Amino acid sequence: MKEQLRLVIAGHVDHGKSTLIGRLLYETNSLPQGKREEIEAICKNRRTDEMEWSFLLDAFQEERNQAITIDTTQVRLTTPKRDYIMIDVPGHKEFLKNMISGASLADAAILMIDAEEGLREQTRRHAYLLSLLGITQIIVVVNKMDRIRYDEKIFKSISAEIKAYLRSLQAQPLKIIPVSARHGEMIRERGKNLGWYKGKSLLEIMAALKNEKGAELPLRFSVQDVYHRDNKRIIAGRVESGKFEKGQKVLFSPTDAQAMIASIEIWPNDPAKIEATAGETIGITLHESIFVERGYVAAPAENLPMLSDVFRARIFWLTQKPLQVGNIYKMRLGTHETEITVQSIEHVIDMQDLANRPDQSEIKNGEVAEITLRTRKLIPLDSYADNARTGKFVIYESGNVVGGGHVDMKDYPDQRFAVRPKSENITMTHHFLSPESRAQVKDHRGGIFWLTGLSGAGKSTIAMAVERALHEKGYHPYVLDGDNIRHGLNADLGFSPQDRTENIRRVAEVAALMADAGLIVITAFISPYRADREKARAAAPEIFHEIHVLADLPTCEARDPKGLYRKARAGEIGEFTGINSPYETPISPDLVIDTQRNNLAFCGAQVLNYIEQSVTLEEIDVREYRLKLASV
Amino acid sequence: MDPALPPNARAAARKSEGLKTLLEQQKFKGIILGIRKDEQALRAKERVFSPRNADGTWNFKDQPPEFWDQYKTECADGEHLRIHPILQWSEIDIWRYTQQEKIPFCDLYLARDGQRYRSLGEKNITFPVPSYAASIEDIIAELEVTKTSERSGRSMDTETEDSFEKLRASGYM
Repeated sequence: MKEQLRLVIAGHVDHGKSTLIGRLLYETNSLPQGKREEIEAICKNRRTDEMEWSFLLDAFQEERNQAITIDTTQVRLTTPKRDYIMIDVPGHKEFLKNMISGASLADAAILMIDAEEGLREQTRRHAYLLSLLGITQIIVVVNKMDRIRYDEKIFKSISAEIKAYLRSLQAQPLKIIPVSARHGEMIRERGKNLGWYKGKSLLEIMAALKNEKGAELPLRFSVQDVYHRDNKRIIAGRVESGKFEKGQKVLFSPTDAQAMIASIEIWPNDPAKIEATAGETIGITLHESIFVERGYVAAPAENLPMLSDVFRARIFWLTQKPLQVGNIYKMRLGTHETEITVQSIEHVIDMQDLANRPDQSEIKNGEVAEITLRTRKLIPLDSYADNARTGKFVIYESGNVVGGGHVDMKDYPDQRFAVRPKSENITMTHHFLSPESRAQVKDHRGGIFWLTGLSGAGKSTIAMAVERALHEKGYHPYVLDGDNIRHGLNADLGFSPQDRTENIRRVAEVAALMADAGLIVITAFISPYRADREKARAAAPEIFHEIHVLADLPTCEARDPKGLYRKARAGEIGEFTGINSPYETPISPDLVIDTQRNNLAFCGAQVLNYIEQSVTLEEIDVREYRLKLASV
Repeated sequence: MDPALPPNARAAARKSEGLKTLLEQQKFKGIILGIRKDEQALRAKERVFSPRNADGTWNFKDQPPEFWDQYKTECADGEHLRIHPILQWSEIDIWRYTQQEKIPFCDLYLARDGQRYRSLGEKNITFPVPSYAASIEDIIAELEVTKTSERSGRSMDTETEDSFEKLRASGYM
């Protein structure tokens, strides 16, 4: 069967998108019989003398009346080598969702720039959205060269400008080509006026475009449904990327269950079918009977998606009602459907100058932004940079598509291998001493007071001051400090997301033991990930207190007691919280200490007061304890 | 029925009326249709999951965004979804698939006396086109080189410039 390639024509309003498509149809002899006559007749009816190529595509009355493209459409272009499905998209900002609907189908793009006007607002917006949609093959066409007398200098300056813009998106144009669509120059024939241009004509460049299916990426098989048929349990789904074969072992996420593929099921049945590649929708059966349902992802054990309940995303927003922090939406990623909460908006991106605008309270229709999203359960995720097929998702509100985006897992730990006991031959031994009896001897309860906050917020300073004050009052406190622990117990750990998670896990376990022994444990760790703090709480939930030591980034950076921010800004330290690694603000901490507005003495007193209230044995407790003792 | 429609389009609009009545009776939430983008310029603007008002009208000025194989799969009470699973297929894809899967088809599509129907519709407004394609192989060979459009025998499409848009906006398939 003849190969086909989908090609979207993007660009600013009136830069000649529809004219180019019309010209290409004409040059390749792809117009159906009578179509030209039909359009000519309509043009005559509308009393326009010139042939209006755009009428081939702008089929709506309103589009023709206003001479604009409102909705996306497509036509087929036939060449001996392959067919092109040419996708026309509207250039007006108001019809952005229609532009996305059309362009998302494309394998490659032509970005049109009017030689007379140069780069305009929608040129940049479309270029940005093409890169967000994952279209990496972009041909830049500088059109209307006839209007600037085929001036090479103007062409070169436009070329430099669009190259620079695309480069900042980590993209680059495949080719930049000067044409006159109206006069058919450098489309198929080279024409007489562009002798200085030594490159290929547009149709030649189009012939070199590639049709990529994602087979070279690691395997991801997303489960659509499970059917029972002829005593077989068939798991139906799509190979999103990579390939697999009969007999291969795969691991299903999010459950971690491993299984071997026993057969590949297609209709009609074909035992010769022993492998499947990206793009195929098929069924499989497994040797092992494990639980699998819609939304699960199968992957090879040596290259798994990450599991996380939090991720960064770059999104585009397509609806009037703005996106705001705390809002809850539904997300579909492959066949996985889940609820998401907007944890924070990092910044809105200006598509014109590519500047990041921080401190935005909402994302408006048509805007692009970076945000952090949180899910209730762990879900399988790939960074878009690692897998363009599976690293993207669509956002729904009340059943409507309202946005879409890319997943970015950089600086987030994989939560798949959260530590579990490695040996199964473990039996917990019980102490004869109860927490009450230990508390009675020390005259206070044990507890964990977990200080979290940015570097420089004042965690260690407060912890040490409060430790001394408690000691002087006769309590038994001990501070576990980040840097101190990293000198010994955690000397083997660095600052990668995985190491940060392990660091906090060990501290939480040590803190839980010490608190169980009856001590008041104060910890001073940045502990940037909410999931890690939740796990620390889980180690001793009854006596865990989360205290957010609060000061904003500029304040902490100005303080910079250890000179670390300066080093991080200079690029000497990678993965520094707040600079190039995320800090997830506590949602409902037990106590917030504002070190930005209040002085150290006040903050220390607040913490001291809170700890005393939490660990003091009340009279009633003592009486109950004595009663209990008496009854033994 | 819209009295402003030209006569042939009015004949076609009767089908829409029948469909509307059925939708009202059965309270369907979705109906699956075989329309394709390559058939006609207005159908090229369709979505795979296209919501319709209670009276079947198509709000083509405000269509839902559709990308990355994710669709609008829910709709409000009284509304329904037109689901177009083969929207991206072409006419020749249909015949190749019909051949591959040995699907039976109506023999009006095969040429008789130098004419065949490429598209079937209401008797009075649908006409055969010149062709010698007497088998499915012939049809595929014909479509590989043809320059006539599939719906050239459907007179209501082009009766006036906007006749098909009016039909589709009011619920025609």
